[in-house]
Amino acid sequence: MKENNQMIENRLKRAVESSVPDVLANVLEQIETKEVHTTEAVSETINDNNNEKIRVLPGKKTNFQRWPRAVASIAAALVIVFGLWMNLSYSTEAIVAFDVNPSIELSVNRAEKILRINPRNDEAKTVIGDMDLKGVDLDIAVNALIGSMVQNGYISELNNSILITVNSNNSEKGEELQARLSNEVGSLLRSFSVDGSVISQTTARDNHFEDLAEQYGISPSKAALIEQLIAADPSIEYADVAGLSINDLNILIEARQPQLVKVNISGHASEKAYIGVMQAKDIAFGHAKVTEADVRDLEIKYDYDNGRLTYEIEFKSRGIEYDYDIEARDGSVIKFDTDGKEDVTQPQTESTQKTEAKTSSKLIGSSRAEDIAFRHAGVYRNQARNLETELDSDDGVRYYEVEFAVGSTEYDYEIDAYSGKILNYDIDYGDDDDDDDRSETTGSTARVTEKATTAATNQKPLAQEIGKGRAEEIALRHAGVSKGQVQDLQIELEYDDGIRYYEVAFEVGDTEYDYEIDAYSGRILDYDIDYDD
Amino acid sequence: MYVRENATASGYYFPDTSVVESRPVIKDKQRSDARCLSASSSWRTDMQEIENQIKSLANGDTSAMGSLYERAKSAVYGLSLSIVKNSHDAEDVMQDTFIRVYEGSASYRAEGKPMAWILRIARNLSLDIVRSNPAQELSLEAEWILDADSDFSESSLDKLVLKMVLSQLDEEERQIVMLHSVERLKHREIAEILDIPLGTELSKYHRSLKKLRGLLEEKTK
Repeated sequence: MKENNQMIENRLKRAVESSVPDVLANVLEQIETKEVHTTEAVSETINDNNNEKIRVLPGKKTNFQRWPRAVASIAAALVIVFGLWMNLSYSTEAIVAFDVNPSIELSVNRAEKILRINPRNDEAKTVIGDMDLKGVDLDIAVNALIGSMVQNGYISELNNSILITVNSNNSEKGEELQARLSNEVGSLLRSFSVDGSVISQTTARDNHFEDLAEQYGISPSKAALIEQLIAADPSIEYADVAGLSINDLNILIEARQPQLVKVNISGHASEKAYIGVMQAKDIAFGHAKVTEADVRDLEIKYDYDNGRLTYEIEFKSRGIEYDYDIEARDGSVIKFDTDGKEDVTQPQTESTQKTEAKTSSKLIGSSRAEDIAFRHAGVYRNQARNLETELDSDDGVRYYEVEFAVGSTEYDYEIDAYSGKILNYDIDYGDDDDDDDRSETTGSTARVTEKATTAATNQKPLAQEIGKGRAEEIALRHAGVSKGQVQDLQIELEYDDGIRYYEVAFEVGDTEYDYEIDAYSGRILDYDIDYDD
Repeated sequence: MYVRENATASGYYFPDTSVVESRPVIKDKQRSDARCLSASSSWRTDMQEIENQIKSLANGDTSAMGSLYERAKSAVYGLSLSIVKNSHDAEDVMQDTFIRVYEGSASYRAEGKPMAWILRIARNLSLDIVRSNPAQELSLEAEWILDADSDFSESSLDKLVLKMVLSQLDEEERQIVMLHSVERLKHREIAEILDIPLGTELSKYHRSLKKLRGLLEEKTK
């Protein structure tokens, strides 16, 4: 039996609450005979001046917090009635999947009753909660699930896209169901005051999607949608878009208008979580140190880069062509190229000079640098301990300094930050097992597990960690906050039970966020949001 | 046809009469209720109310104790229990805590964190007991808790978790888990009360829950 943190905490809470002794009478009796001290009899007052912080609440969680209970009981009663009515046929007629970020699959029979419910990720389990949907009519289940998704903040004004996938071997019936569900979910969202956008598709049963899903850590329905996208636009790379959310994909589809088969889209994807074209443009101009008056041939379009939605901004100014990729949510400059004569105003001059010939000033990123070092050293990432990677620069050459240890051997690499070339390396075969630096984060038991699993991981292809930066982005994106709003950000790479994950904790105003993000797939394994007010 | 009027937003509160897949039915609703409470301004109202009760106590109005006690008793008891590890001493601490709250009510400075203040009092009183009597070891009353092993009803699983918390976690871990579970304090607030860095609190919290998950899985296999 698997219980999650919340279940365990609820158990503990109940256990304590049910065993609290009653001492009120004694307390009252005693205080009648006592007086309130006016002196500092109790010195444990809390002095905390750090808390005068600006309160910024993510807007998406403030609505839909409560539903009328009366209606709940009517619905509950109805479920029972439906339950009595049930005339179950056990063969699966179709599988209906809902993907927002939570990904839930419902197997339904011919009578459209739920035979099985399959949460494909942890968010889905949160959405399902303690609902028992087995034997329930599909339409009721859909109502319940969409309601819970809105209530849990997965569908909101910021993230309004949902993918409905009908997987059926009877394509005619499948498409009919697709259309019906799409309409229903659309109007359901409107009833929750969400101007939703519903992408719906019908697919045939195909194990191929399961394989793709496994490979990229996504759901089969999302895999099917991406496959369609790629079929329509072969320039799209699977790995680049797999990390995009359904909302991101929706925006991309809207921007590029690919010809998709048996895919229907109603409404428009919300762009409220993104900085917007105007701001993206200003960031690019600011970075390039040009003024709008000098700019010609401006072109802005949505693009994507390594699982992130971006604005691609191209323009010319004073004979130089600029090409920027701006991250659509936090506005960071992911990439920029210039073409033309030497530009003295170009930021990061030392790097642009070096990379002029390559026409790209894109850093390879620390995890790529680490992989290069690991490959050279002939070790697997999971074997490496005390991994530390820093972007450094020396005489105008930017490089990643990658340090790690395997057993008693210490490795130290310098990797060119743009070309990935190994500039220098040093291997120290020490005999002192000095591995205590990380004991705070990994713990001694974790290390044992790590060693135990090394043999298994050796057979696997080299997996790549997403890096702290990416983990941070995933958490911030999920939380719907921008980096500028965040305080006390802490990211640590943790290792537990064979799972390597990033623990990302931060605060926005008085709200505390705590995420566990799979270090390889970037999947959110668990999260906790504590609101104050 | 879709029966929207029957299954509106609230349609997802189905009675937990049976089980989705093989998953046990857990009242996650309690958690989400707690979330709802704290997600809205009622969290602040809640704290405001406690501060008002403390103020009334300071003015000699002992009738405010009843509601303050009801509001704070679980957290106070849970925290004491996590430190003293037996219900007898925890009960004493609980009683003393509310008396101290009364006595100290005049010196309480309203800063919006009355629960943290009360819990610090409970914690200090508990630590006093542990320090004055270091030999006091886990003395979980048999009839209260031990039957939990053989019987997997919901309430005894709850007790099993409590028992695991008290017997398998270290003192700091116990306090962290207890404060987070029972009072739903934020990690930052817990870190403040325990006077440890937030990062330490977080990693201890996660390690503890991981441990509990593993133990529970093992026990109920």
